[in-house]
Amino acid sequence: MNNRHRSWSIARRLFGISLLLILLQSVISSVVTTQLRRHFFHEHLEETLSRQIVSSYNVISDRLDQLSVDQAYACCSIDDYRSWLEGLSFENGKAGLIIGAAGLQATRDADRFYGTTELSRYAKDAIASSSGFTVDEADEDVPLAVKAVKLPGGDQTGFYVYMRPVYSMPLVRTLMQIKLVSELVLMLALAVALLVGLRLIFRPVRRIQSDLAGIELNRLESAELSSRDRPREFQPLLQEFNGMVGRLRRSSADQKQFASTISHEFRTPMTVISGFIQSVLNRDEGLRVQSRDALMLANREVLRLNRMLSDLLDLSRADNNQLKVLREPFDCLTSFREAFHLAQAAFPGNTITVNEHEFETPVWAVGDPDRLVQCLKNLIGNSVKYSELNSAIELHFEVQGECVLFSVVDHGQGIPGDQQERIFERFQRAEGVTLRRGDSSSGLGLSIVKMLMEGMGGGVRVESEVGIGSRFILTLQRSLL
Amino acid sequence: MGWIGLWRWPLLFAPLLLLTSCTQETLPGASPVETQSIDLRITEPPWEPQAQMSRRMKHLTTYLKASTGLTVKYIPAINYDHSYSMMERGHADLVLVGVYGGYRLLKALPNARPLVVQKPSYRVVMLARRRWMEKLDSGEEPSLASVKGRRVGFGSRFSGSTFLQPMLALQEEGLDPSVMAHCTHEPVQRHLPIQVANGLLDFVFVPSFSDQQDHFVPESLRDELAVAWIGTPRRNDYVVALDRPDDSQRKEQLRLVQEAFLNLDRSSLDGRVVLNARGFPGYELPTPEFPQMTNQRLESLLAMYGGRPICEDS
Repeated sequence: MNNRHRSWSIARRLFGISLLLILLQSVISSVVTTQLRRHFFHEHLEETLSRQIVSSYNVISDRLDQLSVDQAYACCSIDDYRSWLEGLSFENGKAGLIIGAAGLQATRDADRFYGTTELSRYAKDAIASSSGFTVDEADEDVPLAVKAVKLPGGDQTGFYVYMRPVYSMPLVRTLMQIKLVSELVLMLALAVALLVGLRLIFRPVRRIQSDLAGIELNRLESAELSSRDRPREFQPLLQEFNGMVGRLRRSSADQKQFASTISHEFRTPMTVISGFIQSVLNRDEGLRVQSRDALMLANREVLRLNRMLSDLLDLSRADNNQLKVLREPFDCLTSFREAFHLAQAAFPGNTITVNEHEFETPVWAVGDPDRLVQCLKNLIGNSVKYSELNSAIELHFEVQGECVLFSVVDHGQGIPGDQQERIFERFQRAEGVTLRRGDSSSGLGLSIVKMLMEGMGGGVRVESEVGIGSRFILTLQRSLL
Repeated sequence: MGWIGLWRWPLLFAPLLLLTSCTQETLPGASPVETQSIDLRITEPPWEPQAQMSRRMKHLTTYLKASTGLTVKYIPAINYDHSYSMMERGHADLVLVGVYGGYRLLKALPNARPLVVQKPSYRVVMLARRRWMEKLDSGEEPSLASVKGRRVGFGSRFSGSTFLQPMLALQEEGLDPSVMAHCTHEPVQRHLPIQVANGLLDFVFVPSFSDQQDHFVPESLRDELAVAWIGTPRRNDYVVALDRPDDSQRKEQLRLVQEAFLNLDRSSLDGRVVLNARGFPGYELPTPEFPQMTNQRLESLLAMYGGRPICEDS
């Protein structure tokens, strides 16, 4: 199934095709060169031998020319052949011979280099060829070029055959080998050049890829890709992309505006509703139990809705750079205690312990006291939500060097390792982690905590183990005032 | 029983000859055994490499067969003398000759007669190295006199076109053969240009049968060689036939052959092939001038030399 959707690379395909073409070109060039070399070398040799044979052939034909009529009629015996060749001798492996009806007679010293059978074979091969010329390559290093010319007269006079070793063949072969090696080196160099070239050609693609990877959804205003110094081929693509980003940005701005307006507009009626419910619950003692329970439930839901609206409003403000988060020295121990007391009041069923008594003097940190309380409340609320009913919650306050650490520890379900990063993203919840019946989560809480803590110059992280529990740690910069 | 009948006797023994020759190796270029009856035999002095001679004769005999219905067999000759003697000894009925061969046969054989003569197209050409030509001073023209003190190559001692005709030309210019530093004979005229290209000779005399003066020079040597001197157009080649006054069949055969030669032109493929191979524009009937008058001039030349002229050091 995966093969059907296997992705492919233009660069690799281009490289492969180019490499194949280079290889093909090399093979064709090599074959053509070899054939041409063979053809022209043979042609050159034939031309050379045709010229070289003339002087010795002339001696023989002159002797034949001077034969008397009676000698011509009595022709020819092996002695005749011998007499025609008389005085002809060659060096360096060259040889001449006459082969005809009377047999084979070679020039003097020919037997030093060749046997009669060999000479006969060379001569017959040359005579049989249409041009009377052959190159015997039985000895690859020193092939033998052979030229045969029919002597005047019929079969009785036979052929004069001249042969010479081609001592330059090793040089030719070496040249061919050099050519082959240079072709291979060239091919390799071309492949490398192609690789480098492709990397250069595809550099703009990688730049665009990198730019695209750097785009954040909440920063669409800087998401447009510059078309400056980009290849002409990419301009239409970039224009389309930037157009799309523009449309997305407008859409996102509209959505944010909508969320901001809705959050803002809903809060007032919600506060009124909550106020009236509180008022009825506080003043009317004659309410039936069922009515009171119903009103209390309604009040809790209104409060929950109000919190969600507050979260949405915070996010909306943050997106519009309107969220105000202080970065000033404050007594964070006080805020920590406040959060603890609020939590005790909000979750009376849970045992919430704190180690704040270890610190007697104020501890100063840089940040926003209200936002720190908001963050701690959020974390404590999450701990309660994702733990067993009435489960114990521990709050820890700690000073580590230049940092102040606030930890919220629960003994709940824990968060899988691969989820621990994404739970701080908007509308994301850890998969496989369940809420108690009746509870709900918007998936905004932890992203707001992260946003606020970073706004204060601090941070948030989690240490968790599935089935054991989680520890959320808030960090602020310590103020040394 | 005529000679044709006698010629057939060996054919009866041909199978036996074949059986006895089974153990003997034959060369790839050896001639196949003739099984066809032969009407006429033709030969020619070996003035070219044998392979080219055989090829050209093949064209001619094929043409003669097609135009006369006669089977004409080519009998290769070992040398010029051999070719002439074939007619003298009755082994050839037709000989393609030059001026010397024709002179000799017509003089020796009363029954020999010129059948057809080439249309005037022969010119004797003297070749030299192109580099030598280029080194001549401005205004200096190469001429026959350039052979003084030089190495010169001729065709066979028995060749009219490449020995006697050049000798006649030298004589006309008042040049004695002794002015040459060295002279040599190369029976295979096609090899003469190579001797110059190889630097073995300074000048060589070759024939030209067409308007292209250097047609005798191989294509590969055209850059190296150039025409240094060229004679006036003449006739050199003709066909000598051996007549038999009492043999009407022979008379008819020769008439057919003569007609075939006269009809040779470049309008037909066969004619074109034959003429291109020889380089002639065609043949015509003998004239009072040729070969008769030419033979008289030749006779005086030979008389002057007391026989055939020779190169001093050959």
